[in-house]
This record gives sequence, structure tokens and C-alpha cells, in this order.
Amino acid sequence: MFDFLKKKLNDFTQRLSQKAGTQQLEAIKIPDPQKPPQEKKKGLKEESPARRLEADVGVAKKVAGALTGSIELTQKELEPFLDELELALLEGDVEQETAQALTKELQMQLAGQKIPSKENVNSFLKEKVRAALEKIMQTRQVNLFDEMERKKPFVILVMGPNGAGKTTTIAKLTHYLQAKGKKAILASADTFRAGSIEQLEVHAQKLNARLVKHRYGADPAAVAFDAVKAANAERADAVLIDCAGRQETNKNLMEELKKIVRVAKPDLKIYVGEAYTGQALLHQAQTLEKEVGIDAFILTKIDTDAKGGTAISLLHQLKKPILFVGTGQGYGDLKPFTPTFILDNILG
Amino acid sequence: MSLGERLRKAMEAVQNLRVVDKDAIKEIVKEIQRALISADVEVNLVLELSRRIEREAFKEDLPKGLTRREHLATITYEYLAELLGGTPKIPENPQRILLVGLFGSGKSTAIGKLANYYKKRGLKIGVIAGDTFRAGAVDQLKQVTAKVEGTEFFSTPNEKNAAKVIRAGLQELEKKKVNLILCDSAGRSALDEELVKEIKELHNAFKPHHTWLVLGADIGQLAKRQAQAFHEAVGVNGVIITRTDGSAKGGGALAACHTTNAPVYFLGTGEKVSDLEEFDAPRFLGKIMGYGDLQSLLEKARELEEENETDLEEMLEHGFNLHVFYEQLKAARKMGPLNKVAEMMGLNMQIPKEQLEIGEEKLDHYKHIMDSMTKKEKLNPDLITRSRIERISRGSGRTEEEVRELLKHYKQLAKVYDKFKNINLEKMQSAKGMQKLMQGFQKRKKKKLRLK
Repeated sequence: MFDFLKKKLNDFTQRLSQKAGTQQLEAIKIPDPQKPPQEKKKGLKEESPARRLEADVGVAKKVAGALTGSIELTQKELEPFLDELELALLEGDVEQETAQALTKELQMQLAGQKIPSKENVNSFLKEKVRAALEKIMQTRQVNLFDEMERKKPFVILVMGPNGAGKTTTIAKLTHYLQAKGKKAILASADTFRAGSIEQLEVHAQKLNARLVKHRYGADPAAVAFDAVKAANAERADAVLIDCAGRQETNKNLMEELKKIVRVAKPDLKIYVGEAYTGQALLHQAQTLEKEVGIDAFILTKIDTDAKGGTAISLLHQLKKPILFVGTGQGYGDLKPFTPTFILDNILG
Repeated sequence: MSLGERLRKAMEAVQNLRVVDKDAIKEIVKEIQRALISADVEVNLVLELSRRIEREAFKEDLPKGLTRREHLATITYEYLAELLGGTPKIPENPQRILLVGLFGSGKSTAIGKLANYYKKRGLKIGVIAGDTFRAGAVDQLKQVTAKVEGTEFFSTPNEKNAAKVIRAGLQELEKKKVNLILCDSAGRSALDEELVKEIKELHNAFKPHHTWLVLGADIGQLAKRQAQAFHEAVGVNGVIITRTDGSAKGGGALAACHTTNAPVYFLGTGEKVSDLEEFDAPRFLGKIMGYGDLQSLLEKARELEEENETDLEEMLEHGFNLHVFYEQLKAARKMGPLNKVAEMMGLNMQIPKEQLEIGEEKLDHYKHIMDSMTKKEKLNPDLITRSRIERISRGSGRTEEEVRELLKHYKQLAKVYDKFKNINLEKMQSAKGMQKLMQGFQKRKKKKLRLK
């Protein structure tokens, strides 16, 4: 999924290293003190004497740098590159604040830094980008099976906006747990959407898993409660609760969700979101985090050529791990996910 | 801040400019850029838009009778409306509509809503369950269409080939003399070769007059590529944007339509079959920017009047009292959540959130409390003193706090109500400058049409 961001970040490091390279060359030429280099001055209508002085100092520094074999990039020189990078990040669905945080982090890492000129500037820059990404994406790691050791049955609530893929994800999770010899019971707590119970029923049948269901219009919390009870009786390892999709702006549905949480007391609350959701995903997730709390994410539909920026923003803003990504329509299309996955895919 | 609020702020900044100079324009353009990008509008489109605004801002010959400031505001508004796709004409007799889209974008739900919409316009509807892949899809569609009385539903259990289902369905529904056939399809990525092949087959079998793409309002920058790919595969000539009741405003989807030239016909605005709204860019823009959408509010009020339930305009004529307050709360629940009403009135930024979220139970309590009031008290709530509150509380079995809360709530809403009244009766005097401009813009547009 990260092809787009990868390309853009590559452009960024390459063009910046070119720029650094040309500056090294320029700096070696003794500049005319009356006439500082032109290119940096684009966009400025008029030069104040102070600016020229600053520029002259900059040039002098660079000469020194060239002599000692290192080069320094000033904030001003970095700015157009970082502005462009920010736009590219936005184009890759990275949310605005996260894009700003990332460029700011890069600026801190780069501005005034001595770049050893003998070294490959490009790889130096890449290293810096990796460090910046790593820093903004730091979260707690969650290992599902370690967590499951804690309690039996382990209750997992799957929630998210309409059409994000909750029911399909539950089927995949069931399959994933079964493959590791764990027994899961499914709870059809989406009693609102047409066809939702039948949908989960079909999956339960195919996967040979037990399904707890009520009728449409029943209290979802009651379904969840019954499922937990059934799991206790049958000594199942996990309960997977499917609840109705909801928009975070709907107060009543948020209350309903809170009730499910109160009654079923889930050990892990997973938010399922679409990888190609734009800037809104963060807002949705933040509201849910505030109202009921989120422990981890699963991003679905990454096989649609989603740009992946969503993942970066989620990690940065909510500091919650992404457990899995959905990669297709089969039961096996659920892949464990780590930040390293992003880093390797973007920086390759 | 939402897209609307930000755009509104930017436009207000234009209005309040003392001098129109380069720096000021740059600042405003930057703000508009940020607003659009955070609403997922595609970056290239945003850049194009800002270039045009900057160019126009310094044009030598301004249209007659407009100051540079007014000109700037008008063109910005005009461009924004154009970017969002203008006002499309919704097909009255579409005959066959195929819905396509990504997974979980809301196709089946949209079919129910379309059936409801066209049934109200006198058509007999048939629905074919063309999603043979996803578990539960057929059941879902069946339950959705059952909500629209008189709709013919066709599916072939256990048939996995969608094209076959469709051919059989066409024959069957033709016999039943339906005027409009809606066909569902499985969710897919249009960048997946296999799935594209399948949708082409499906399209061939159904031979739709209209192929509409269903997009979620929350889709990001991917919208454009997917829309293009769907368009290349089956020729998309209309768009429905769903889930606009969330915080996402559909910027990505809207802009995607702009690039594929397919008009947005409808917005999905909620979970019920009646939650479908005709799309109109200037109106949409006015609404999200908080300038009010009186037209659709009045339309809705009229619909309710026909049902003899509430008379909004009559309520406006008499003053605001507790009766009106209660009726208003009740009516608002019928017209959809109060915040939707407020949004249409352009007041959503001015009403505290808690007031918009009054629950069923609260409303009952309010009724009990009001039943314990005298007529005089209800008509003039200012009469209610501490001792009266005590009496009302005892009489209704609610606490004194709750009685006070009701009164406080009433007073707050009375203020808002005054604003609404002014807006309605004095032709939007409160937002003078901008409103005038928007009206002027609409007049100009009409003139243009007349010239043609």
C-alpha cells in the first residue's frame, strides 16, 4: 500500500541531496560578496540588508564546511523542500497535524546539522527520515496471544464506522485464532443493519464456529452478554463481538456502544477502519477513544491501493498499535502489522 | 474545525479585508487550501483552485458594480461551487440503474433509499440482488427492500454467477411490469483485474441506462483513482455519496466526481430509507459553511405541514413560549435530529451541543413538568418564581433541578429562536454581506442562463 509515499519520500531525499551537493560545489567557488547566490532568494521581493548579511554568513559557513568536509543546511534552505514534502504527505492521506509533526521532526533533525560530505548524502537523509518516522509512530506493542494468556474467555469487541468491514474482519480473526488452535465464539450484536445476522451466520457455518444471536432489534448488549456466558460454559478461548457500524456523530449509538462495553466488559476493544479513509478517520477514532476507549486498530481493504498515510496518522495521534491489516477477501487475508512494516515499505 | 467553519472564516476574512494586497490574499488562499485538503479534496485540484483565485483577485477590469473585495468573495464562492459539481438534474425516469463501488461503501443501503425515492415519484420498482459474493448480502438487500412497500425483489439462491442472476431477474421483473430496475453489485476495488472483469460481465448482462458509483463521504485521496478506474471499466455517469452524517463532508468523493465528470445526484444522510438528499452544490456549500439552507428546511417543514403535524411558519408568527418550545423539540425529532434542523438553519455553530441532543426520556420529563404548569406560566415562563418551581416539581414528580434545567434550556433556545426568526423574516439580515453576495451571485447566474 505504501508505494505512493515511498516514491514521494524518495523524491524528497534525492532532490535534497542534489541540492546539498550543488551547494557544496557552489561553496567551493569563492562567492562575490556583493552578490549572494540567486536561487535561495526566490520568493523574496526585496532583500533587506540584514538578510544579505545572513546570507553572507551562510556562504562563509559553507566555505568552511567545504574545507572541513561537511555541509550544513539552514532552516531557510530546507523550507521549500519540507513544504513540498508536507503536501506530498497530505496527498498520501496523512492527516494534517501528523504531516506537520513529521516535517517539523525532520527539520529538527536536519537544520543546522553537519552532513558529512564524503558520505552518501542520500542515505544520510534516508536515515533521518526513518528516525523521524520512527519517533512519531512510537506505540505500545500488543501481542494478541500474550494478551489472551491473561484471561479465558478473552472478550474482543470489534467496532467502527458503517461498512468498514467489521463482520468480515471477525470471520478472518476467527480463522486466525483457529489456526493457532484457539476456539472462538461469535456474537452477532449488530441487530440493526439488514442482513448482518445472516452474514455472520454464513461465516460461522463455514468456519465451524459457534454463533450467539438474537433477533433484529434486540438489545446488542444482551447478545454480547449471552455470548460471554456461552463461552464460559463451553470453555472457549475467545469471544468476538460484532456490533453495528456507527457514525461517531450519533449520540444514541455511542450510548448503545457504551452499554455493550459496560455489560460485556471486553478485554480488547478493536477499532476497524478502512485504510483509504481520508482525514476523517482520525476524528472518528478520537471520538471513539474518548467515549469508550480503543486498545488497538485493524485497517481493512489495503488491497485497494490505499495510500497508507492513515496508518501513520493513527499511530502518531492515538498512540495505539495496529494489530492487523486486511489484504483481501479470503479468510487468510489478515496480516499482522508492525511499524517496521511501514518503514520497510516506505524506505525500502 | 470543520470544512464549513474554515471556509466560512476564510470568506469572512475576505469580507473584512481593508486592503486587497498580495500578502492578505496569500494568507486567505492558504487558509482555503488547508480547509479543502483537510476535507480530503485532491491536492492538485486545490492548487488549481488557489491559482485561479490569486489570478482573479488582481484582475484589472472588474465586473460592474462590484468592489474588488466583493469580486473576490464572489469568485471564490463560484469556484468552490464549481469544484463541488454544480447543480445536477436528477434523472426522472432512469429505467435501469446499476450501483457499483468499493467494499462497504453503502450500495445495498442506497438501493433501499433509491427505491423509496423513486417510489414516491410514482414508479414501480424492481430490485435484483447482484451481489452473489459477500456473505449475507442477499438477505440484507431483501430486508432493505422490504421496507419499501410494493417493491419487487429478485434473487437466485445458491447461484454464484451474478450475470446469470441478472439475466433471470430481468426476465422475471419485466413480466411484473416494473418501471425501474435497481441492481446491486458486490463491493470491489476497481484496480483489481479479476473483479473488473466480473463487473464488466455484470454490466453487459444488465445493460443499465445509468451506472452510479457509491462512495463513502470519508474516503481519502484514493477516491480519484478508484473513480477513474470504475469509470474506465463500466462508464460511471452518476455518483451517490454516503455517510455524510458523520464528521466527514465528502470532499474527496466530491472532488473525484469533478475529475470524472459524473455528477453527484444524492447524499446519504442517515440510516433510514428516507435519509436520502438530492445534491445541489451551492446549497451544500452554503450549508456546510453555515449560511443556512432555508430552502430545504422550508421544504421539510412543508412536508410536515401536509401531514398536519406542525406548522412551523405559524409558530414563527406567534411569540416563543413554552408551548412552542415543546412543540419545537417534538417537531425537531420528527424532522430528524435537532442538529440537522439547526444545520439547515445555519445555526449549528451557535447552539450548544447538549441542547441538540435531547433524548426521548428527557422529552417525556419535560412534558410531565409542563403538565404541572398553569396556562399562564406556559405562555409567559418569566412568571415562574422559586415557589412556583417548588409547586411544579411536586406536581410533576420531577426534581426542582430538572424544572430549572427545562427553564434554562427554554431560555437558551428562545435566543436561538429569535435569531432564526430574524433570519427568516428579515431575509437573512444577520449575515448581510455574504448573503447579499450569494443572492447576487445566484441572480447573475440566472441572467447568464437567460442570455443563453
